[in-house]
Amino acid sequence: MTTIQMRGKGTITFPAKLRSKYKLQEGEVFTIIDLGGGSFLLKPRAYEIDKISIRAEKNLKEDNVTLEELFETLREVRKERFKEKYGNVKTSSNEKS
Amino acid sequence: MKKVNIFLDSSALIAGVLSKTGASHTLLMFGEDETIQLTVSEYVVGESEDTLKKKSPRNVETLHNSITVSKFQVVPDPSDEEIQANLYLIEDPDDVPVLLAAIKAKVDYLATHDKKHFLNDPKVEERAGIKI
Repeated sequence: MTTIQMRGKGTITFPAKLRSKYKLQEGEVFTIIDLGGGSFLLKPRAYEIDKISIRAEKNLKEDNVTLEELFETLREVRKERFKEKYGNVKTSSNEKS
Repeated sequence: MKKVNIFLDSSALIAGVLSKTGASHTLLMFGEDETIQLTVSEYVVGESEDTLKKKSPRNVETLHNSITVSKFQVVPDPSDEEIQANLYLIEDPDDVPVLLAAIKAKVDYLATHDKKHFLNDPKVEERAGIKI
């Protein structure tokens, strides 16, 4: 375990031992993953999926739709798809009707 | 060492793609760097697509790109007979195709945002034999 200290403008120095062990050089890009509860994970790479999701979030905002609304629509879609794909399955609800 | 295999319900897939903050997106990042194996079924992809077509059509392409970038494996859906025999797994029959696909894929976990249907009844996890 190593302790590091944050300095001005949030700068922290990555310990030399880890830099050497993982061959990390100046200019290396990291992704910080917030695990919650004050814990972070630092991954030495940039993620394509981050770029995709930034674009997707922008599209969603422009469409004026929230994730909660999508989840509600998803339940309706799930019901429709079950009827379409598994219409022959006998369930307690379709046996009553 | 065998990678942890996580099946994403449609709610987790949609949240992971459309929100850069949150646990589902972190799973997609770990899928991209191959720390874990991510799995979905054809049913999950299809209903996620249909949902986005209705509410945010531009994001249908985004969904497909994410599935590729995060290296998802897409497994086939259960048959009518398999669904019929496994209706006992979860209260709402509409959820059986997803839960059963996850069981058949022998995943370690199922990730979902749907507390009401998947998490409120602890017996679902017990019957499925998968951590939810």
